[in-house]
Amino acid sequence: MSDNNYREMYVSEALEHVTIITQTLLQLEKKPDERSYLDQIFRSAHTIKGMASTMGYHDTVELCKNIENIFDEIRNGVEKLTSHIASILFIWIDLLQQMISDEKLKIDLDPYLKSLRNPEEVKNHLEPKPSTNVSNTIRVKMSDLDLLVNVVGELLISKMRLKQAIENKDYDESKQIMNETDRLIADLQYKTMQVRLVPVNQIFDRFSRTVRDVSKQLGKQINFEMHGSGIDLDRSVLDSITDPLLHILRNCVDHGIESVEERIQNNKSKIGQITLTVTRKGDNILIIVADDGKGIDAEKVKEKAVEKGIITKNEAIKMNHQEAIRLIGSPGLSTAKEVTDISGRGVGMDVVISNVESVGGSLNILSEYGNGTTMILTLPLNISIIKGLIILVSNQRFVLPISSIVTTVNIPRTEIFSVHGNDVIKFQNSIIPLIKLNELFEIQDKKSFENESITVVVIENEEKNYGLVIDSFERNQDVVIKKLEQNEYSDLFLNATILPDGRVSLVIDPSLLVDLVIP
Amino acid sequence: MKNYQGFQKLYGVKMSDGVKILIVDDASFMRTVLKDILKSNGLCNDTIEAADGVEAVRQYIQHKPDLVTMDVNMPKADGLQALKGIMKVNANARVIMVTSVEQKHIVQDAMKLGARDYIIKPFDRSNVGLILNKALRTK
Repeated sequence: MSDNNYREMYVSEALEHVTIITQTLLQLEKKPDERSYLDQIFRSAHTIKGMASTMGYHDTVELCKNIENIFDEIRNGVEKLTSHIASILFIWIDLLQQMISDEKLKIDLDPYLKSLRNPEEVKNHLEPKPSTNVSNTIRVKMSDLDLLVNVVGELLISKMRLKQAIENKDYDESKQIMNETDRLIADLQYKTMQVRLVPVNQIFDRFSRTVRDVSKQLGKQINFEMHGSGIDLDRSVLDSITDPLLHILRNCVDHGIESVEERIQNNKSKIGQITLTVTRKGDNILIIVADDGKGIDAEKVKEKAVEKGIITKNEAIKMNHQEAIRLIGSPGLSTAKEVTDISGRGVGMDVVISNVESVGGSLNILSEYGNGTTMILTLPLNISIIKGLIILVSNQRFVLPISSIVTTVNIPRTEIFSVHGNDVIKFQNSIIPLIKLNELFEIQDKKSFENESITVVVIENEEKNYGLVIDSFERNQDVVIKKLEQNEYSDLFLNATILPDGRVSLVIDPSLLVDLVIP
Repeated sequence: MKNYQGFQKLYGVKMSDGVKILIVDDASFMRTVLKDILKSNGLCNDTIEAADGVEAVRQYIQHKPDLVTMDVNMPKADGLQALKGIMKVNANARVIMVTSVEQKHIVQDAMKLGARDYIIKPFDRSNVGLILNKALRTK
């Protein structure tokens, strides 16, 4: 095995232990007497030390030795895990992570090591900065790779059989082999996607860590809970939502949760509550971040938006509560009284939203002034293959993600009503707006005659239904998504796919569509 | 295979294909490093691995290896507990402890419990070869 391979193994395994240390230390802060936590941290530090010494990384060995020592002292009752020591340990762990990830990093360990006994040293030199460096590799079980290799082997055999069958002009045999190949490819696709999945709790520890650091910094008391760690998510989706989630959590601590005095005044428990829940819903993963803080003052958001010229006074008056809250996603809006270095609500929310949308997700914000805020992130299980419905609009094919479709209906033209000049239909006891795709895409087919009824796909976007008027739909199909480069239609289409007949088809993004039609 | 022949010449030992070694360490990185050393020294091509003390005893019973390298700090059951377990199964088991420099005191306890010898992390390739080979030659 080459040194490079050793290094990869070392980095990935050592970083796993860093994660274990961080998670365990966070738990230990809550239960400082739990012996098994102390043992675990000691053992992980020891393991990293052993690996680092084999690799010849002396500084890493030294730092691990110091971590081992302090936990040995705590175990033996010589030292106590004070808040100061915990903070220093977190700084050490960040440092350790950087040293493991970056072979060439040169660091003077001395001030770090001295900071343990000398609190002043921390303020002078060392600022806690949780590293956002996540290794770009994933660990794959050998057995999973074997499965992939097996399927590829079977595909090769199929190919040879197919070649033979074609040479023999045996149509029936070819057709059957094609069916088998189809199944094999579906299998390969599924298994490959499985390999890309990583457990969401891989990033969970960074969340606890951020909430801990920010709340200590601001002197707030917060109980942070995370649920749903058993769920897996595509690695690239996970990567692109990590920063947005960190931002949301910092916002919760900074602007959401009130100071202890303010909470007591408002008859709330002095300890603020933040929960992060991950659940699966159909083809989507929902990540829900809820706090019991002061919530968003919709009136203030409107005021600010008018002030910044984002909306007019008239628009502000017409706006309902939910629309006003959605304004916090507008670029350049900040309602925080002072901009802190921790976060500024509004400063980054637009970035958060665009990050989430870039992987095909959406963000929903619910908030009641005085009673906390709930942010709901909806994400696709994986981004590159989706189930889509192929629809026809003026003889052109488009793909609509199944995950957004509620149902398809045929409506007689007589049941189309007009409200404020917009066409609407009745659907399940409510009135929903119609979006005529041929008009929107400006591809009206002059030849198309007026049928007595129209075909409508009812879609859901941010808990509202819309009816898309189409000519007809063909079938459900798995489609491989290819991202389009930025172009003049990017406000409507981000992705395309290639259909079985070899033609390129645009993928409709319901949230973009709705944003464009219903401002 | 060059190393293998060199080793034979150097130590006058013929590595039998039948030598089976159980490598016990909670870090897969360390297990791989040790496995590679054993291979390149020509000591053993047939290795079994265990990641904790409980698995170590289980693997020992199942595979009856000729030799065990035993890490000390491990989850579930540590190296000393696993050593005790293995010695109960076979009082003549050849167990070599794997420790870091500052854990030498543990080695003394391990020797009392029946461990044959110890190797120190980070590994010195030829030293590992010598010690394991010596242990394999004794009954």
